[in-house]
Amino acid sequence: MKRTLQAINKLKEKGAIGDYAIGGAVASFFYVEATLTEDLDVFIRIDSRKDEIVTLSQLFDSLAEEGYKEFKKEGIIIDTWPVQFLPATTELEIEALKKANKKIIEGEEVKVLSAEYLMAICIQVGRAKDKIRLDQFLSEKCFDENFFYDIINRHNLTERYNKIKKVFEE
Amino acid sequence: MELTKETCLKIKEERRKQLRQLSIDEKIRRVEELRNRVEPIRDLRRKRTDKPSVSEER
Repeated sequence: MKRTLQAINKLKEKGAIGDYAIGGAVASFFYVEATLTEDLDVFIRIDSRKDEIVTLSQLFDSLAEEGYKEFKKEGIIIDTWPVQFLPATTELEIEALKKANKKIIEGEEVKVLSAEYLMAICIQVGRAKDKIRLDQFLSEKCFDENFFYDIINRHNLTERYNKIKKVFEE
Repeated sequence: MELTKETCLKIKEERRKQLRQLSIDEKIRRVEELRNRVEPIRDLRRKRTDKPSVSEER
């Protein structure tokens, strides 16, 4: 993981990506019990106008220069980890990225999404594995409830959250 | 110690608590170790699923 993170930090230094933050399963390891994951999710900020098509060509060109060309499913393999670069596109993702916290993984400084935003993104995406992760956060009570409810209220996710929670309680 | 359902649940909860309290580096190390064991099996399964059937090969 260390070399993967070093490569990502190098991309930022070179300007191939702007601000970034780790999300998904790896980010959740900071707050809940670790689970098996296939890849590393990295949210990146893309500065583009609303009518522009977002491409990651500059990013992939920079990675190719470093010798990273192999893909596995949706991720590009950097060292041993397939990395999925996800442009932050929704209001929620953009806000989550802005408020990400600095953390250290294997001696590398990285930014990581907070527990409350990870939970809100789980609700927004809503796949089975997101619901399982949300349940982990809820049962391990490792988040600020007021902050979480504020986020889901502002991003119109409360109704969806209540539906998921109802299923958990059944 | 008698192994009742309650004792098992207590042991399980204690174990999960220990796993939650591991450092981030240790969690990642364990996940990487597990991935190294699981990935070859997943890759094999993918290859088998992606392999064209006899009729497709023709």
